[in-house]
Amino acid sequence: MSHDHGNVIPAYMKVFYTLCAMTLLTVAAAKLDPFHGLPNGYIYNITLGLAIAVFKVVCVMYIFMHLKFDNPFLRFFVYVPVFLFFVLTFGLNLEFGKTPSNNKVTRTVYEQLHPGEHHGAGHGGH
Amino acid sequence: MSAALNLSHEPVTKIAHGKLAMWAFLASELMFFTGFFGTFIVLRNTNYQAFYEASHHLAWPLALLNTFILIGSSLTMALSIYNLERNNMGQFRTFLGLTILGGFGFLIVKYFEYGAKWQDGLFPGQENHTLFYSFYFIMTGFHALHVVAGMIPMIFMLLKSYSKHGYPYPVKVETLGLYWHFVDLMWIFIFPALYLIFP
Repeated sequence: MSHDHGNVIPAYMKVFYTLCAMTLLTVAAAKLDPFHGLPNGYIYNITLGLAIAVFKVVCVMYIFMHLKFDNPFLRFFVYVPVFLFFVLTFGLNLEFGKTPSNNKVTRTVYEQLHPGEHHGAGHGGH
Repeated sequence: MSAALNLSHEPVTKIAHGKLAMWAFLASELMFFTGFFGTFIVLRNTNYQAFYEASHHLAWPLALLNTFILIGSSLTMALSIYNLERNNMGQFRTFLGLTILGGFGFLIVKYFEYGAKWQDGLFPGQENHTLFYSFYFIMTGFHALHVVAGMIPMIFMLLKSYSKHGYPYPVKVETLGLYWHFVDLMWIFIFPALYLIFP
């Protein structure tokens, strides 16, 4: 059975360009560190990177992997494991690891690496 | 298409059995990678300084290049399926061939990246940065193995497409395409997690 979804090439190209642009945006966000200097700025930075990654993943799954066009039943195969993925990765993290701002040890280390959170100070590659 | 072929589809949802099985397999694959990501985040936050220092030995421009290669090969994979469904055998071969080339390109870049890490003594069991580089090699290594595993059936499909009737199973290519896109999806998370998360 052929799955004719009409001409999907413009949609594919749009996703391709979006993925390229979002990849550059991820790198720019990480390297320019726009939230540097704000209290807990690195958390915003990680959140931004994660949000971009999630957006890219949704683009790939809905267009390249045809979730948008296929039977909605298939989405259960995606929603359930994706939910578990986030629960298991970040859920664990909330309980045991904690983000640097909430964990005394990692916060101290972070503050040593980023003294005073000045713009540019203690920042960049080695 | 013939009635006999429709038996290969689930009767209610009209989804090909192979595709359904692939989605289930990908769900289990996601759980497999979840273990790595979960432990990585926990250990990153409890060994922040070690991870911070170790990550700065990574060559993120090479990883960025690999990201573009994978995105491109995802596009060519989708285009090859599109063309096979329309019986454009020539275009199908071109795009599938480009996808395979993308896979090779990815592995070649990885080869240089791994080689540099090996020379610098940055691998598990060494004195420095063992924990971070255990994650690095396990996560990117399993990802690279997935790339290899995807390329093998692609090469068979490409070779078969040169037979008299071309490659007659669009659903099989579509199923493999799902897998290939999944490999791309995992890289979308691995790339920032290992290379970018420590500014």
